[in-house]
Amino acid sequence: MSALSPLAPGRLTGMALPMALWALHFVVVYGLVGLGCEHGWQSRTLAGGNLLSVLLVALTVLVLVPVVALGLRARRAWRRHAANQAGDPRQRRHALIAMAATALAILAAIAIVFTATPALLLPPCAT
Amino acid sequence: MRRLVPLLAAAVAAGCRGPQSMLDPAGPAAAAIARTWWLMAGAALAVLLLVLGLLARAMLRRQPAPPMARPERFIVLGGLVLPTVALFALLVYGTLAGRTVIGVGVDTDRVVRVTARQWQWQFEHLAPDGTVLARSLDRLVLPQGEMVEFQVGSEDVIHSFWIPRLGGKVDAIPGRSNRLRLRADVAGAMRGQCAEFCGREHAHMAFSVEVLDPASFAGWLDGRAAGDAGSTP
Amino acid sequence: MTEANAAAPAPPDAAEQQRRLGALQRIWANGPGLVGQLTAVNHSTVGLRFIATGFAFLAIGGMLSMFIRLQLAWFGNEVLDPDRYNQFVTMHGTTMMFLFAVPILEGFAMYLLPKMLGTRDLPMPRLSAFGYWCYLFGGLFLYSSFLFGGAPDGGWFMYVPLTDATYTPGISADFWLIGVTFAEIAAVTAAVELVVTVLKTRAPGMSIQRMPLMAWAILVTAFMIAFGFPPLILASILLEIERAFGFAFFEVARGGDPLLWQHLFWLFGHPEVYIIFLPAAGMVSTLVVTFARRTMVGYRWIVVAIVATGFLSFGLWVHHMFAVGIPLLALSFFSAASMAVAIPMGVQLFAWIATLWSGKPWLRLPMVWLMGFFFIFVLGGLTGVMLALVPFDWQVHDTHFVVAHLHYVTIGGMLFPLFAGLYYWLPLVTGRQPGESLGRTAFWLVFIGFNLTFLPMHLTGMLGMPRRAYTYDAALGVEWLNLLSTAAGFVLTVGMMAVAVDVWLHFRHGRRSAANPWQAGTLEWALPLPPPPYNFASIPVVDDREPLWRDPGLAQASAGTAGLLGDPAGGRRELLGTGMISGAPEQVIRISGSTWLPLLAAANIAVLLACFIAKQYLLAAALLVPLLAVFLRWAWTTGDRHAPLRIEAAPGVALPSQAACSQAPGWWGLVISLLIDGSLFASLVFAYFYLWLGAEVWPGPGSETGALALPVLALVLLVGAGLAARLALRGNDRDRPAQLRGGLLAAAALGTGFLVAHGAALAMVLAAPQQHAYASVVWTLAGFHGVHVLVALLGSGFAWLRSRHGLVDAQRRLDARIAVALWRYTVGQGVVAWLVIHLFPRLA
Repeated sequence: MSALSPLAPGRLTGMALPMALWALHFVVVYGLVGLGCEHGWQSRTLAGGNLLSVLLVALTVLVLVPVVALGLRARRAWRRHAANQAGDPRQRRHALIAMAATALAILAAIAIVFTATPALLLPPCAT
Repeated sequence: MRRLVPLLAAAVAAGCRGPQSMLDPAGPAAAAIARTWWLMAGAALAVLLLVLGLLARAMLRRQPAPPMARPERFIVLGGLVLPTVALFALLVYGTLAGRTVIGVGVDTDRVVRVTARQWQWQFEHLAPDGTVLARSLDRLVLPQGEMVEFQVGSEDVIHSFWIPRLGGKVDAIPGRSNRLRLRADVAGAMRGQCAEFCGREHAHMAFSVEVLDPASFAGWLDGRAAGDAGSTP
Repeated sequence: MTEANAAAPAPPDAAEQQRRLGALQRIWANGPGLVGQLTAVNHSTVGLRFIATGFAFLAIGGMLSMFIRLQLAWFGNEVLDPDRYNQFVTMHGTTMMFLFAVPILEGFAMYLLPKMLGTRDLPMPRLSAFGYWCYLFGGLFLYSSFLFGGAPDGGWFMYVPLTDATYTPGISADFWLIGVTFAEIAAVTAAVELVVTVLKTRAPGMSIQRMPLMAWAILVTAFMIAFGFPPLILASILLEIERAFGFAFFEVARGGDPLLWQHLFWLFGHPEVYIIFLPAAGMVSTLVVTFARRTMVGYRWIVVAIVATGFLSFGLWVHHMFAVGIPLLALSFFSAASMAVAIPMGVQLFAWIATLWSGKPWLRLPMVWLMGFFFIFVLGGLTGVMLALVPFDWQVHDTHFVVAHLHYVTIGGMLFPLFAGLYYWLPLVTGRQPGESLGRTAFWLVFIGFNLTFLPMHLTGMLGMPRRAYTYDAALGVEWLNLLSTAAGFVLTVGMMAVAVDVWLHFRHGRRSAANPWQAGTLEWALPLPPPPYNFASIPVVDDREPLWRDPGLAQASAGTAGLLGDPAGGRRELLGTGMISGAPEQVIRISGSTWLPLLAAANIAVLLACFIAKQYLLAAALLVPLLAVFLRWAWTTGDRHAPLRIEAAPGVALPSQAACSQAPGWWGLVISLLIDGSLFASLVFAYFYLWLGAEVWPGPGSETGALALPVLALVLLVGAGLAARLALRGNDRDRPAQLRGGLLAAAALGTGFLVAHGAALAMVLAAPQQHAYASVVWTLAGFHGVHVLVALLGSGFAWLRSRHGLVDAQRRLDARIAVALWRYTVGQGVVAWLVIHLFPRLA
């Protein structure tokens, strides 16, 4: 991905991407519980658990992969910009945003793990 | 110190009594929630003191003073790591407490249909086949020690069914039937009240709750069934 | 220093300097007299109006709360009867949220941001003036309900069915729905304005890592408004058309769902808390730096925290709905997000402490208020974490515990920083130095009064007292706690009055202040006190986060006319536009001056809404004509339509004017507006699927899916309109005005064809909207999109007219770009709406 792509870690949109993935995950798992409980997915089994809980965990793993990858990529970009920043204001700007992207990826990962934790502890449709 | 703690606890317990006090639990759900409260209150107090202590330390240093040695590490440890760990622990604890409160794995002994309307509560004890065994208005009679499932609905606007000494509340919403399971372990009188704003007489939409020991309860139910189930007390 | 300064020539002599300063004053000053006040659009004037009006509503809302406290002082009191009590509770909440907290923070942002960012005004000054009038008229509209036999009494959250036509007949609920939506126009326009201000008009050299944290906070807040307010606006519109025209969205008997209202309301309501907290946190960050007398430690961590809060706050809404009967697991997701949002709060808190710890703290009056903020807000945050715990919330939800919590976070998190900011920035407005003694007394009265009012309420709630109840039973044993709250509430009130007196005395008798009385580092303190209407005679060039600490000569340089835009040769109000990330100069923005248009537009809307509430629907519709005329005039006179392609910002530094710049503020304004509109549309699509999820039959009774031929034809016409618009823009870029105009006309014709075909297609298969939620929501969806087609038609007509007048060409593309962008957006929205309306019911 080029440095000018809107999703590059040095851009504002790229910086916000991990949080956007958290939001996507959040909406999907919430919607899935509503839909799954309506259709009785909690009483079907898959891979040793009920279908709904297994789906929720799988989705979590699925979204954590890109979040972690984005975090690592931002960290590399941060290092690169930080190493070159002497005398180059452009690098300094991008260093800030890349650092923020790294930290936001960490926060997004924490938030996603938080969201998924109850799925491991609760039967999916009990009220 | 050792004597002070129970004394203090007794004083607090006295201040927490009341017919509608969640801090004076009379059933397992309310007890679990009250425990959670005391735990969280203690932890919150500790956090508050920590923050205020750090703030005081920051404001009251005698100048000139050396700056903080590694401020970013302070921010990451205090602002990121500490809350993450503490909140994760709380999340797990709270989720498990939620399991207890809704009574996962506990069988239901009895069903009561609750119908809310402006501004009145109607309670119907149902037989397993769904027939009404007893009906009462603004007065709920419960057997001691039985897990009762309340099926809560509304005929007009949204209300909320709440007996604080037994457990949490659930909304009464037109078009829906919400379930709430409560068990009363202590015989005696207490009070419930509508918790969702429902119009002019919201403040007066309360009901009395009487928890009877199993024998008295059976007697009460027989008495109701023998008479006209539709009449009100 | 940057290239702009290197190019600066020898300074003008004294006479030339005087001439330039005189010209700047003439160009930027409001007109004389009352007319000048009514036509003013300058950001200082408008910002201060927001602030003053906000404080007036604070006083009114505060008085309502004192009646509430009197009524609750003892059980069985009869200060207010239940109806009056419900009105006061409703109006207290509504006033504080919609007429005080949000508008006053917008006012602070509007007043301060241009000064902090080193520019002269907001880039769309008429828009913010319009927002102010909407806010004022909306607030007056809401309060006029007391004159017409009944203020709203359904609670500030207006839950249905209590507020529908069955349980709240009459017009009190309509006053709420229409008045609040009217006032919200201000929030939405402010969001557009502030995003563009922060991204496009910072001083040269103020690249993204040098932006004041206040600007970061406002930027994220503005985006949150863009996504957070539309759900409530939509919900209000849906409820109003259910009440006025008998549509069915929330009524169970006709397939509606009362919980839809709650979802939409809290989708707004929770982000709202952070919408008012983040700007206040931005003030805290500003003040902490000044009074720690060092730059922020962990600046980037605060940026991270602000952005993370902006996102996470949208994952909290169901925690107001823990008792509605949703599965525990689904609730736990929101519980988890509610806890996760505490992490960025912790990050900010520790960054502030670290900064104070690393600096030389100076305990002046604003800082005293911040100390109060730390104590109260941390406590409110901690009870907030408790409420995030589902089982605990089941107990205390809708009790006075929640009342206590929400006042701790809003008063602690917003009002205390606001008062700190008020005292901090007062010298900027008045040129006088705040005295400390009365201010400190007022602080202690407010602080002690507040804590004694609301701390006992936690216990009151846990002892079983529900909120919004006009009285309570003696058996609860909460009368002494309530009496304490009431008594302390009066201490709080006296403290607030002391603040008011202090500020009044300050205005009248305050000691004259030297420039930069707090020795702060940010640009607003480079201004002479009180600042001239153009703020900076020369746009400053910045190379640090606290430029005044780094360059003490900056204040003098920017008050002289030797620098950027120092020579107002064009005789117009000019701003410098800079790069979003780099802060490098890229355009000269000519903005509009004083005009009647904002007031006219807002007054027109006020009359229109008054007709609507009086059920004079035809008259209301007829009033759209003058409104459109005003908006046409507005669009036509935006900025300077005769501006040259390039304007000299300084000798030798020629920059494009905005019509010729791809980054024009008007373009970004459109982008943000479409984002807001997209959020509104998404809320409506959400409503559709939410109703579907709870429905037994879909399509609802009386409606069917019908044949696809006509809908497909309509879709083809719509896509054709989009293609024609693209061809039009391509023609413009090749300097073929005939192709531009022809393309626009073709797009308009195809769009009209779409409206006819789609309307016919729906009329054949859909029942009347009053029959069932399905028909209601589909008609609304189609109508919503139809309005956008009409707007795109108007946009095309406008661009056509501009082209006829030779105001659009291959260099000055802005009008054509906007017209075409409207089509692209409308087609995109139409495709989604089409799939939802015509394809989904066939699959479901």
